[in-house]
Amino acid sequence: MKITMREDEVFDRVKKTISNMLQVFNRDISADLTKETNINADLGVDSVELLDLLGALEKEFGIPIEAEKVVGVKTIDDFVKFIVNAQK
Amino acid sequence: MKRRVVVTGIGAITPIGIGVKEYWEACLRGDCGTDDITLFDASNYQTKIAAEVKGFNPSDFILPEVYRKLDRFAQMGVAASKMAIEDAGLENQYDKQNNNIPVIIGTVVGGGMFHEEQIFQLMENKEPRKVLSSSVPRIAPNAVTAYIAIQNKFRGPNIAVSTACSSGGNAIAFAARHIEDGYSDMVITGGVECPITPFTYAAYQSLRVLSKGLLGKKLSPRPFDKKRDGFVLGEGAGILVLEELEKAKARGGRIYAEVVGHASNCGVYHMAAPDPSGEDAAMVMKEALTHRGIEPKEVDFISAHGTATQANDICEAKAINLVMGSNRPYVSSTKSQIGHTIGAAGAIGAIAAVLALKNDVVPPNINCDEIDENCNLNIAQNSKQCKIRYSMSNSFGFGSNNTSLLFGKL
Repeated sequence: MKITMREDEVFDRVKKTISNMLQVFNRDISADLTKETNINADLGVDSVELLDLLGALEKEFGIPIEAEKVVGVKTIDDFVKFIVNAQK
Repeated sequence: MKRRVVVTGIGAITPIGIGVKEYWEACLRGDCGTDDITLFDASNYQTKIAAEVKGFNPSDFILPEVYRKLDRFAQMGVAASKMAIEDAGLENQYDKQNNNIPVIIGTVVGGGMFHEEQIFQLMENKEPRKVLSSSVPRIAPNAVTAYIAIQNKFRGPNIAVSTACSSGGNAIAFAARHIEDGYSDMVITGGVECPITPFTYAAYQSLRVLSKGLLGKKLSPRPFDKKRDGFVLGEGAGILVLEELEKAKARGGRIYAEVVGHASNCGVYHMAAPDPSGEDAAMVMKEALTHRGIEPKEVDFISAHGTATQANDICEAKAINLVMGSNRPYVSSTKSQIGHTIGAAGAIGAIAAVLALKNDVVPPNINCDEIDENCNLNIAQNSKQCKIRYSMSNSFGFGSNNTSLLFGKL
């Protein structure tokens, strides 16, 4: 039986993945991230860094994430919902 | 009559100081930037010393969302360019929407550290999909010119010059020509390099050109010294703002020096060894002088290439004497203090020549206790107060790639 993660667990792991990727902060910024955080407008993640982020999320959650399927995904909540749906 | 070119701003990040004031003070003090390697584990290398930049914090100069996208060399280049632009008082003095300001920077290795990390991981995990998407933008040598332009909205030609150890010198010569020939009134130029990485270091070690520092790490390298045993790899950035003279004066820019002459050539001799006759290097120095008809006897200081290898120092000495004849200008090599910074070397050497001229002080060639009799030069073993009419800066790169720059006062 496939076990799906709860949304709040996915949220915590997405925040951690983003914080780890943005290494230059040298600290865990997970606590500063909210569901409404816009990864481009608030975190400066551009199109190339977005690809790195998708790779990190694929590794974290063990699911393939094609770049075309996340067009329009802008906030952390968007990513959380995408990953929860991908598990179903 | 070609237009005249002046230096109006300088930024420097070096193993002996971050900032042009800090660099120059450390230079005149005779500081040595050589120390144990910390940027990677060098425990199984024959040579374990390098001239690393200490205490460089990119967040002092660049926003996190920008510098996290850059490898170390591009961080240093962007930071040094910020210093140079502020030094020139340029921040609000050009139209950011409409300009043709070129950025022309010498660099060879590019994002070497990041490149090697990705390769090591790929070799280990054999999973190409795990190579980071940002690899190409980080590694590309023109990442430094691109980000300098993007950060400052410089919309002219954007060129990374790669001619080995003469990259910085060639970039400055190319930049000066842009202004002389009327293509632009201002250019951001210089050189940047962060070559202290596992592979690049091993490659130079295998070429047998690196000093082992057997006399002591602070006693290496030793350009022109009888006991020299090769160079110490260094890292850093030297950025200069060049402007057309009348435009610089009209906006009230501070002028360090004029680029009176420049020349580049290829000695067509060998990819890694200098021509022992010194004639190709002599030719490029002569051409820099004849650019404005300056006589060799008017040159009072030469910022030498001076790598501290047996071959280079002897050949360079021959070349200098072929050109200078009975004139005995002071000679010193920045590499004695900051190591060999490869693509940045020609730029930082030029900065030393400019500051020497501006301040009438010859910087020291440290660690030269006994001048090699085969290097019959007037080596400035200590810094010296000296009226300097013209200063010259030489760089000689792999591939017989030679450049000479000549600076004078207005």
